[in-house]
Amino acid sequence: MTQGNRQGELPDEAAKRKAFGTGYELWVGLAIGFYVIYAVTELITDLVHEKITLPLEFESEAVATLDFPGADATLSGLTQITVATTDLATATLVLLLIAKITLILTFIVAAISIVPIIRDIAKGDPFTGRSITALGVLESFIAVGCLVYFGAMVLGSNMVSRDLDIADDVGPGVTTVLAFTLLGVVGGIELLRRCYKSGQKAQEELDGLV
Amino acid sequence: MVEEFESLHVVCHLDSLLTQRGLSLTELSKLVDVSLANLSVLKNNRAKAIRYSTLIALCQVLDCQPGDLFTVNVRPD
Repeated sequence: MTQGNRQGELPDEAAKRKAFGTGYELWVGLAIGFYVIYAVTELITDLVHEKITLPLEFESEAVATLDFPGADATLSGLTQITVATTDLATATLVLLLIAKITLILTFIVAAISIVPIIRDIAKGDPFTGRSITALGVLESFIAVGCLVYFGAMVLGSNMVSRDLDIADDVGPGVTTVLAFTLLGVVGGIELLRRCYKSGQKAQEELDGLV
Repeated sequence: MVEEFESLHVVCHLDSLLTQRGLSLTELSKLVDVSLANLSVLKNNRAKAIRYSTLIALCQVLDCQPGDLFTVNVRPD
């Protein structure tokens, strides 16, 4: 009886599996979905309250002194600051928004591009043309998206420091370490893409071998 | 080189050798330790390559030479 029911449910289950894939994509979707929801909510909340959050590198103690109730402290290195949008020029605000929106879009596109790769790995057939194309798309979008983000954020954070008259005391919100991290990520994806191409070649050679 | 291969193909005579020896594909699969699916691919001329180990095992069990198992024929147009 139970078996009969299961057999009856099989086409539905197959349809579900086809619609939702193997389930692994959902985990990636959830992770990226949470990030996107968090980032978009933060951006909208900040804009509603007429403020914006951005990273700045504090290089001088002159503007980085914190007056705590018990003691004094200073900020140093990369720090997130929240400033009123009314204190910033329109061009500054536009650049910061471009940077933030680009990063969110890059994450969304990266999540979409990684789905076919996960599906093929879950199916046990990773070296497909579709996966190789998806890795190429992922690599291109991450490289271009992060370049746009870095460009807009460097210009934007420099303009923020100009608007706030602290240009001599802070550096841009993008550090060399971040740029090298991006190079590492893009290089890693390219390496993976080349491994997939070699894997596909090896698979083609072994196909039909008895 | 590829054009030459397009006009020629390798034909496997596993089917007739099995009939002559009175063996089934399943029995051969157990004797040579090659999966039934792979032997079926070989029998139906869908294989693209064969390992020496498989060839030696087949020749040993079927008591034949590689030339008895395979011939290179002209592909019919």
